[in-house]
Amino acid sequence: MKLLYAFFCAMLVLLASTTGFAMDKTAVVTTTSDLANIVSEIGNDRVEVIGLCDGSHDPHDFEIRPSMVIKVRKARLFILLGMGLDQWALSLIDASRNSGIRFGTDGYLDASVCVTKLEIPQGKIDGSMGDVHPYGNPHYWLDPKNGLAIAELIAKRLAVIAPDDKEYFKANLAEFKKKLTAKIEEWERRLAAFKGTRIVTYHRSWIYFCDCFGLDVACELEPKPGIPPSPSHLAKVCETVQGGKLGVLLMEPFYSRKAADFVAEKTGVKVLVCANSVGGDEGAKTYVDVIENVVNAVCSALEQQASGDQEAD
Amino acid sequence: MAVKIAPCAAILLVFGLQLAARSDDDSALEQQIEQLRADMDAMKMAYEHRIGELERQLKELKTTVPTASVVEAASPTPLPGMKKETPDIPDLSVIGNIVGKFSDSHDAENRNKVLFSEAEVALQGFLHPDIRGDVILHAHRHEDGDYHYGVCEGYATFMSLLDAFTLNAGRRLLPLGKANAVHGHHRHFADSPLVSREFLGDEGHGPSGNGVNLAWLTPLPFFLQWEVGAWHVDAAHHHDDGEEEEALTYAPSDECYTTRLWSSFALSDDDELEIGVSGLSGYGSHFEHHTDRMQLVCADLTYRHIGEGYHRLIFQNEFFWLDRRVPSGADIDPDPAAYTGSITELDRFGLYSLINYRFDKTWDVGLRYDYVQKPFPVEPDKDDLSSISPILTWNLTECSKLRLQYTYDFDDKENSVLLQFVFGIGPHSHPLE
Repeated sequence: MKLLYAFFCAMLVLLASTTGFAMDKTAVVTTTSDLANIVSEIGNDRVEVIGLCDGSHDPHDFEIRPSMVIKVRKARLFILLGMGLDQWALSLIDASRNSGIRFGTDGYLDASVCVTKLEIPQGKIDGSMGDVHPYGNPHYWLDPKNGLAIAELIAKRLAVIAPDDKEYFKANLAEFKKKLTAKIEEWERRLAAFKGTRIVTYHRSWIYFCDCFGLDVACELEPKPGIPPSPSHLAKVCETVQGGKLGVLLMEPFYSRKAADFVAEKTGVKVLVCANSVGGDEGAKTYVDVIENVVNAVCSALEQQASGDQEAD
Repeated sequence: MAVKIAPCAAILLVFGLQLAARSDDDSALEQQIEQLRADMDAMKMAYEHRIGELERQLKELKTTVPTASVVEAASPTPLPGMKKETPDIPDLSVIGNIVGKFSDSHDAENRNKVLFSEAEVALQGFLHPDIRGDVILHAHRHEDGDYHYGVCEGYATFMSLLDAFTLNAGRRLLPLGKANAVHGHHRHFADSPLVSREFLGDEGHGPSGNGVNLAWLTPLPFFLQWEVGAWHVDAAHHHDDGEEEEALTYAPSDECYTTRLWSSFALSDDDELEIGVSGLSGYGSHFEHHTDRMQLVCADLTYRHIGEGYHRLIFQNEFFWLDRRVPSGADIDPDPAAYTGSITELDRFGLYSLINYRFDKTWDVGLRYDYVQKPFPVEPDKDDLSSISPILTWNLTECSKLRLQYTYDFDDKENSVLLQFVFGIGPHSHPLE
């Protein structure tokens, strides 16, 4: 009994110290590493940011752990991609008891509010259509112009959370926008020659990237979103690739290469495994790196294909 | 002179007429060219208009419907249970669990049958920014062959009292260990571990109780949650009318009190160790017929490694110690309140140990070892149970899986195979488990 009493007392002391966390910096938690990188560009040394899911994992299928609750509990701002992609984050918010980051508060930011959403399904949705997101295709960060909008949104919200640093965030935002805008112009110049080129992707995740740079997605290895490639579907993909003389197959590193290698072997299409988020491979250290690496890989593969075609002619 | 002028004039006239005729031909050709050019321009404009129209339609298909775009572009994605397309209607989901059992023992229940084992209907939504409501109804086929219908869980969650506490009020699965608090369709195996069946009466889902549970997330730099609960658990069935012998089922019943300490440590970015200790104090399922007090302690230990891509390893263990107090010897059926005779203390132990490895987006394999001493007045080492079960799971989609589980029962030397198909329709969520 004495032991139980001592335990209760110890717990009460701990309860009394609940508010004792030193918060020199604005604590921010994001569901993905891309959002975390943009936050660190804007907030720099005035924020402490943690991205829960990095590019080596599929954000559709991320496994949350109890230790993450502590990170979320300290957050003053929680940023999600939204559109149902990172819904796993909601039980972390609930488990953290952090009422400052609940839906509808200033501490809850759904980054999808600032972008034009593509592929919003109309009518009934069910499993026969695969893993279709009811609020549209959620891979919007892969359009770097959306990256600009996300940065602006984050800067505005950081200014609400930490108003004393408003000017600091504004200056960093201007710097980031300048850097990213210059990069976007460069990427557009490089990909201008390939406008209208059709490519193949593994998952329907590169729509925003292609929309930004004028590429078209001819087909995906998945017969329906989230449904693993089947032999009969891969046969159709091979026909499409051969018929359209498609040269590039773009996929994320966390998907199995087996189906892509099969199509490559049958058709000669070049498989490009590119990180779609920060941390997806060694070269993807920042959001700008992620897009740059994809542009580099696609440009290089399409240039090779074009020079090969010329030699054949 | 006139003779000379006349032919010249005639020549000139003919030449002039020819010139005039040639000039008429030229202008007609020019007119035709002009006409073709005009036709081409008109056609070009018509095609451009049609292309423009098609592009507009394509863009409309790709983007938000214009009438809703202004609102949608400014609104965050609604939370589950907040779908604005169907106002005031909670998230509605159905879980189905189909199990086929094949065994070489003729005594095995439901041998060589494929049965719809369990249906679960969940209604979930927010009542207030900080209050959630969850109602989970189920129809569950027990081993006696009957479907049992009821409320599996139905509770309100007050999510952040004083920014540190969560209060559940209503009916829910008793928060004991790892597996008991998890619905059957969420587990990594097709049946319940032997220890859950023998100590908790778990036949696919653990015992539920009506009551309250308060969970405190302690302000330590690592995850430590402490829960206390007070419950009234439905008395488990163990006697049929006219049946004198006790059926060999056992579960917590009537008033029960639970507590759980749950902690977790991130060993690295990819490794996590979870440690939990749970306790239950209350009555056993025979309490209505004779004294049946029970104390249950459960320790759980889970190591989790998250690898690249979809690779994931879970090593989960639960150890149960049961202290059951029943009347001694033949004096077994007195009035529990008036009983003053001697009491036998039964100390029983059970465990399961599971290793599960996900090696692909869709596949995982596992191995579970079970051991339990039966919670009845027999010699524990003479009536214990143990088994081993390799498990293969194919996760077809995010909400459906096909599982094959082979079990070898060391005591009955029984070989059995379970083939399970679990599916979910509609948005379904559970708290952090």
